[in-house]
Amino acid sequence: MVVNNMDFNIKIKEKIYNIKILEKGSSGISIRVGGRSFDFDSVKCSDDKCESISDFGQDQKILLQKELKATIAGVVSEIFVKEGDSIKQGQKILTLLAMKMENEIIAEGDGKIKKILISPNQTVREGEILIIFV
Amino acid sequence: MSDSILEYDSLPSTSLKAKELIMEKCDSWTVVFSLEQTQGHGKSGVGWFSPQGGLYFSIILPQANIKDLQIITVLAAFVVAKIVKENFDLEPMIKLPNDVLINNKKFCGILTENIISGDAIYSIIGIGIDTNITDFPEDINSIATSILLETGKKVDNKNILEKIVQELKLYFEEINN
Repeated sequence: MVVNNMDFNIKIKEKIYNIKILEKGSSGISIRVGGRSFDFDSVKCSDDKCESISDFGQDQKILLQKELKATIAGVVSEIFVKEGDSIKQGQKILTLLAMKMENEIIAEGDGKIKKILISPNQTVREGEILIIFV
Repeated sequence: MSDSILEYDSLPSTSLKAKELIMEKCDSWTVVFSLEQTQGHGKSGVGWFSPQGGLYFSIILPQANIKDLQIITVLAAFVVAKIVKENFDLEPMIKLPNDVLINNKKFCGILTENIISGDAIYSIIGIGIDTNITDFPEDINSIATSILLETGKKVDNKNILEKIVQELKLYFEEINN
């Protein structure tokens, strides 16, 4: 019995391939590429090593970029973190006054602050590195 | 009132509430409107006198280019001035980029705040208008005014709010097209 499936196109060197992945209950999966079908029977493994196709891609943590750069030129108003701090996704890192607007920069993902390269009231250019993450 | 206008009796700040709503994936053009603010603020956290009688609201904007957002702040000032001129026969003056004055006294403040997370920019435009305020604290009494003080007529806050949002929406769409 097929309970879940995925249907998508991938592009490899200008050629587009249609791929269908069919999950056949607990018995295994079938991957169809073009007219060819590849069947895989399920094997026993511990839960933490196995992932349902329907769960694949969900709840993945966003990995922080190694650096936080200024999106726009402005003046650093406040810094809410210090070097060595572990930060969570959505946490306020700093505020930047730019173009008469207050810009609150929040963490895109979880991470740890390695180095802070700016200080309050400092003028920064667009693209300038403000903070380096571990 | 429109479904997208959320009305509160009292809030610390309408923009603060709007930020919370953004984190909860709220729709753009949702408007947070409060009868009073206990911690209303302008640029750099400077307080904004927000007792009952005034009009305080924040609009969650659709995602836009950061350079367009600066224009939106100026446009919001223009929209407030236009609506006040059309409805109250006053001659408002815009003090760029974010204040509107009548007879050289401030009656409206506008603050755009962006929340930037990677490439995503979420924006809130907060607007405070002294509509039906008759008494100001001593420190701002000589520099602040209200529409009621200038005209002697009481303002229908909700009506003015809807007009401002509607007009701002039109300008925003024009900029983004």
